[in-house]
Amino acid sequence: MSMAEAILAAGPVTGYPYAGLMRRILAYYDLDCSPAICFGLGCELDFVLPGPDALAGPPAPGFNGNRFPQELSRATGMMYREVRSLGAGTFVHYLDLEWEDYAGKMQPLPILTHLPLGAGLRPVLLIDRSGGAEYTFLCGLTGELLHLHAKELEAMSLPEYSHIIFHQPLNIIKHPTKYRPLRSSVAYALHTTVHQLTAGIGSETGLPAMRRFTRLLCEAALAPQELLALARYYLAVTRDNADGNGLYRLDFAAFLIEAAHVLDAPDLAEIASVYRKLAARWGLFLEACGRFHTRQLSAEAFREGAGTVLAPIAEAEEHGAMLIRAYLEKTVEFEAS
Amino acid sequence: MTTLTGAFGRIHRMGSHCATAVMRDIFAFHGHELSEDLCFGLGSGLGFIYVRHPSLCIFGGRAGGLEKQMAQVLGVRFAAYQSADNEAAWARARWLIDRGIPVVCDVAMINLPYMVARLRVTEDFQFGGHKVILTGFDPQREEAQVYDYVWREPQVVRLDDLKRARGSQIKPDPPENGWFEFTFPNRLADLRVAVNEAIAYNVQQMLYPVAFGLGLRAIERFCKEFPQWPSVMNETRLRREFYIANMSFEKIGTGGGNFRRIYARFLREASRILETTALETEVVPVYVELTTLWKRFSARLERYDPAVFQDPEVRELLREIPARERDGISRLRAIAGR
Repeated sequence: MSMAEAILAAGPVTGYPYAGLMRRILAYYDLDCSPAICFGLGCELDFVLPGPDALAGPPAPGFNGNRFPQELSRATGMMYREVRSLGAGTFVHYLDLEWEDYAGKMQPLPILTHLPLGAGLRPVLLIDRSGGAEYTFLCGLTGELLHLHAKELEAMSLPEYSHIIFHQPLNIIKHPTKYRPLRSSVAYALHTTVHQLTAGIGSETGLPAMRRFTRLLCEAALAPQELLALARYYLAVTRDNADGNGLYRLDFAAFLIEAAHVLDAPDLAEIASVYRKLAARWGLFLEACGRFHTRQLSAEAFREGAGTVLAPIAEAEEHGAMLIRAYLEKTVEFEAS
Repeated sequence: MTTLTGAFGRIHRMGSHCATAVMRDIFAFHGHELSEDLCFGLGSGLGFIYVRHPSLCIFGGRAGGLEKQMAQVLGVRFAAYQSADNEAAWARARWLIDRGIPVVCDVAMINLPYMVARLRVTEDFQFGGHKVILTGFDPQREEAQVYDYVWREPQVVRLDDLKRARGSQIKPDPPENGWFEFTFPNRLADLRVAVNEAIAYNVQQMLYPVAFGLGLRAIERFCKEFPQWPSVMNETRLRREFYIANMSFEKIGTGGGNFRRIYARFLREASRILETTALETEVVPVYVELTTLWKRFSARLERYDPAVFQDPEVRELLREIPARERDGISRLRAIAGR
């Protein structure tokens, strides 16, 4: 079976786009990983308040760009190698080099990249290349196959490009534990998730971003066009709140339930309820974004409504993070055996 | 002239290894003082590579991706860029410097005159992964300033030389104009979590590497194959491989003992951070011993001598090294690498 056939045989792409694609890569490498665990290990729980540059570019689903595959690779023991390049010609050149390097010599490796498709940037998996200039990609958002010629790739104009290769642990002799133990990976993912949410980058990500957004809304500091751009951004990164996921808090709740089993930690299962409630609250926010986007709400009504919803959300997010941190600090991890 | 050189000079420190010295400097520039040894360990830098191609061997005692791994484990966003277009890469570097951002660049050592003169690098040492930090440039004088780990003062390089060093086409490891960009969070991740995770990841990569020529198996294969080199290599090639191995295991930026000295020092710090004495008492001695073993082996490669292949001391080293390497990883796994 070819790599393309093996990847497609893994079933339809579902759920969080990166998770859907990464699960196929993991399955191709003979590692089964539930959607919830896959999502959690990718440490995607976050919030972003994008600046003008980010709003000007095509939005990608999810908040952390390439962080998801990077964290998931680390968690499973794969080696993640990403290269970013400037210019479409350079991107296609490197894509070809990677493909030829692995397809020609060893086991073909799927290559994760992003292409501007429709209204946004989409994660896609390069799974086949034929005739030297025809590329077959699997779209992480829709599950569709895309056949593109090199010329079409070169015509796509992005400020920068990236492509990612994942090297699995060697399989010279099959070893059931060649992937990292799930217990330590899950614990580390929880630490990482709490850190990125609570620390944040400037006031652009995490809780600092949520608080700043709330303040800007309450102070009426954002012009209607800025509000509309933000509303569209949040709809795009959540695919219009597909599956009622509420900014992926529902996915995270599912991860906590499974993490509770992995770590034998009933506390985490209880904390999952916090995130289910958060999913519902974020759902209200996204619903308002949708109504504002379709002009059913005025800018002023959106600003007031969003501001009212966001302040308690930020408090609940902080509470959820604090609960997880309290569990982690209770857990004895660093004592010598 | 655009320069951060003065500001950067106040935080720059010389170091043992280019990548870790660079990371130490970059983190210090952003207000985080971490020792070079800690940078090495947080980057899960302990490793080994040995690949024997028909015409050359690749050696090294360090794992790849150190900068990315260190950034990741501390919650710093990291992006590695490459470009086949020398001018586009230079334009981006200038853009970053103009915004007060020092640029970590991959360069080929052989194209940096100051490095060739000081370290007596020859054409045989084709390494494109050397790291320098670009902190300024002067378009009128056509010069750039870079900080390099072996020098306290910034080195002034002709722009042409720097572009050549960045865009060099040397094989097997061209620099591809590589550079890094970092985005720091408001605070770094908990150091205890980061250290524990870095050790766990390092153990994983040594035990279950992602490529044939890496990790513990590569050490074992190297030690098994070395005595057989004369049967597959002529004298010219043997002399060159001796030179490269000696440089890679000891002379150029390993901190001594094929990076095992740096790792031993990291483990001492890790022991304090994790508040466990077991690392200090049960694992550090292994890496101190490995430092000595690798130094003794590298010393025998300093000048080509065919008698090395039959030398009982060398044969003993080739038995002892892989055994102790495996022992070190087992102990690490038991204590902090779960």
